Amino acid sequence: MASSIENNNEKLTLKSSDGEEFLVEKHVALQSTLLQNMLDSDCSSADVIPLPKIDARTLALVLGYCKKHADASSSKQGELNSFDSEFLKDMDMGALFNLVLAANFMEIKGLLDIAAQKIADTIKDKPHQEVREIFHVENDYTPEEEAAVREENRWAFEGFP
Amino acid sequence: MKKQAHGHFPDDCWELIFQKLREDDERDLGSISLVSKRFLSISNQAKLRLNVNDGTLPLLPNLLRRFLHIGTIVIDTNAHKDIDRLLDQISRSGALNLQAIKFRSRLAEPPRDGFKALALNENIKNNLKFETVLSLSFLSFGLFVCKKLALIWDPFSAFHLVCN
Repeated sequence: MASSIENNNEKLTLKSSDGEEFLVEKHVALQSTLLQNMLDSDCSSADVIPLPKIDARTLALVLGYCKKHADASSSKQGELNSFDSEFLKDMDMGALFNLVLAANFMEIKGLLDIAAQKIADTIKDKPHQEVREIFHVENDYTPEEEAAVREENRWAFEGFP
Repeated sequence: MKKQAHGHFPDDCWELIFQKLREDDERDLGSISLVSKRFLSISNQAKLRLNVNDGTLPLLPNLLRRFLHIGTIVIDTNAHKDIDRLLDQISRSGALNLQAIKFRSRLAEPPRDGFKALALNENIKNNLKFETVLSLSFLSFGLFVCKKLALIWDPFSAFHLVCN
């Protein structure tokens, strides 16, 4: 019987929410703590692993990230950093949110950090009305409630131009 | 971009994003909390570090009540009397996760009354465990609180409350 340690080319199959299957090298999949835990337990790599919350487009992005990070040696941090910023560069907000959800579900901390940071950076210096637009969030404050929160927040804006 | 409401987005993911907002510029948090009631509530949880300057000093009791998960308080005021009072306010707050108090500027002498007040708060005292002390960093001097307290004055501008 070939153990997983002897067979480095072992692959496993991940299935996206919309039914697409991805054949992934095991060392790439191990970037995900969720998959690592599954493989460490009794889950056989011959099984197809369904990821019902992640669509094919997002899963392809996630696996691209995992492959780069799994293949890079630890000495190439600079190269990985430029890959990360390039990876997220032109991504729209919807794709970024899907990445956060996927990285959170699959427990890929590095990806979760950079995607969350990218979203946080887009709302930097933006007034709340604009943040509502960006995130498509409905204002559920009454004018009185909003005024009260604004009053309570006054300190946050003091000392800034 | 396809118009898509992010109402389905879980609170813990929002919290991760809010924690990535600038820590040294409170305006980001101010904007977020005005977006919606849900954002206000999540942002209150997400705030882990509080910057206190002369302007925010009078509001401190309110802020400590609002941001219950504060782990670090950064103090940027030189008024010695104020720092004693400020530490006293912190000691009477419910800041259960408090791990570090950092000072932006060098003080002429330690705020002894403030330190004593902190040492008398069981919650704060017990929360700042010895293990966490090693990971704390300070700009000009630090404050360590442990189960048994001693005040040490270091003439080279550093003083600590340390375990003994």
